[in-house]
Amino acid sequence: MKLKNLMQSLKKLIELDNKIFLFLDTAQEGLFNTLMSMISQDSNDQLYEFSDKSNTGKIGSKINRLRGTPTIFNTQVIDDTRQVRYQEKNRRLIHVIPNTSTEKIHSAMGLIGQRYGLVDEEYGIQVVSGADKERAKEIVSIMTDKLIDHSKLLGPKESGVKISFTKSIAHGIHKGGDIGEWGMTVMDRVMRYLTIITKVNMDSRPRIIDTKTGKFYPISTFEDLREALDLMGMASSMLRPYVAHWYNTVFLPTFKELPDEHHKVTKEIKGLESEKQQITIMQETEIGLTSKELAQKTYEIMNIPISVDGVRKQYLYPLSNMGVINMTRSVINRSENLYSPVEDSVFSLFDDDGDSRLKICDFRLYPNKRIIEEEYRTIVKHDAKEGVEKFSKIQDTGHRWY
Amino acid sequence: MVTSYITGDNNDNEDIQKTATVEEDESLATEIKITNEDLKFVIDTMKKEAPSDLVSIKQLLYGMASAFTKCPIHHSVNSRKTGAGKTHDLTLVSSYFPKKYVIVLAGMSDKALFHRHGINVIVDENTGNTMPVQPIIEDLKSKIENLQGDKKKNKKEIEKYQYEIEELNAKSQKVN
Repeated sequence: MKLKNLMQSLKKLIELDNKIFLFLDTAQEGLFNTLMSMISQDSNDQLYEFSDKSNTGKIGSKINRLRGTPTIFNTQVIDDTRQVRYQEKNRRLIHVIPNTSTEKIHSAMGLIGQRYGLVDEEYGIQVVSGADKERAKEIVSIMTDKLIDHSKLLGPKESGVKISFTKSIAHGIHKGGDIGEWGMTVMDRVMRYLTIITKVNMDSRPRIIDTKTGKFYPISTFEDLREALDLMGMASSMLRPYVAHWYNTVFLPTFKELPDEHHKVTKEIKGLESEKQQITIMQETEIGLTSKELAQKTYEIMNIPISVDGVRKQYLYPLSNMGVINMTRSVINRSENLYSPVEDSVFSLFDDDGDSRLKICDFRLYPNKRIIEEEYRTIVKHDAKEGVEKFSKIQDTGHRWY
Repeated sequence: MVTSYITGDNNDNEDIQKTATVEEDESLATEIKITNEDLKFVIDTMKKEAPSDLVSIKQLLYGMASAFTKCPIHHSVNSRKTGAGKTHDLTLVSSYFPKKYVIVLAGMSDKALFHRHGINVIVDENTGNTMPVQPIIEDLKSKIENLQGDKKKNKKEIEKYQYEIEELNAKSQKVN
């Protein structure tokens, strides 16, 4: 009887923490749909109920308990912006775009040649040695052990890091203006990068130690923030970064060059008294650019030869699906669409592509010594109340952190 | 790798040895300090095989490291055209992580993740805590063994338990 009860309450526990999943091919649309709540870490344990047949052929429901969150890496070329849940997926996965500059292609071709044409010993001397690789692997292995050890006492979404300039970061992102919901996603991404960068450097960072539990919080430095912001140039983009770049450098400037009047087709006729008159035969209802015009401009501005179809598939359809541009049928040429911007620009974290610094417009939020000291007030106050037996202490590693 | 300090010739001792070695490895790892130079060395070594993709390499390195924290960072590697080096960067960085943590998939069906290998547990309804079921089954098995002292008297009871254990095991195997 006891076994029967046991059997009824039996669940399978699947541990997903500390797992890196690499999807080397474009994953099915449904896969990300089912993973949404899990990769959002909505709760630590999630139940998955499904129907299954027993040995006796009876159909019943079974429950699997999924614990933790795997870290997902996906690769793909094809445009998936038309998918119904694309925006949700886009918010959860940060874009990584390999460099495709001419210099990169030349150096990559050289490396491909070396990989095929050199014997191991030569490759080790000319490119990278096996001993160096092994040493790097050893360091990464120690790093993973340390991260697992540090996270043991933490709950889901707990960073385990002390950051003293979060208000400054938030202000540097919104700059006091209305930037929409995407601002929260960008803030979350900055904090996640900053957290992990601080943690991989935890041995050379000062830390707050909880003397009761042994839990410790490495303290983020400006050096960590700089590293995080260097990555955010790519990671803050709502669109794939090359699409955002094309929109800002080709589409918007070309659209601004258009006359304010709607394009029209006119015909010259003679009036009753033989005077010449222009009559409008057809007139566009919208001001916009055609894909043919944009293909020509892409070549002129970016020096990228691209077909009309290529412009549509690579840039215009994704932008239209994301609601960044409008697409309307041309009245004059029914086989063409006219494209016009919905917004003046797409969100950009930095004013200049080559300068990864946040601008703090409010002097009261500039992260100076006073602001940082203020951030430790809660701990100091708590310690004073607790008397001699402090609940935490700050340990410096000798690293200069401000 | 640290060698074990416990010696012995039976299976129990071997298990203790393994546990001790793992624990020792972990504690050793936490004692070793990773310096800024060590991290720079890792990135420089990775960069040698993808010199123009430093930003991508760093994004992937920190992203993969985040798998061992409670704040994972998921990434999607994409490009305008095929052949830009997406898979190269991804496999390059992942090759530096211990194999046991990296699962490389050519594809995955919608629900496959929900049916991965796991351990059977029962859940305490009050606390929500989970307990592995296998030790409980083992315990019941030993009780059956005890009942076998007087087989005739306990025959029905023993058969019932055996049948239920078989059913339980069969079910677990089928799902796994």
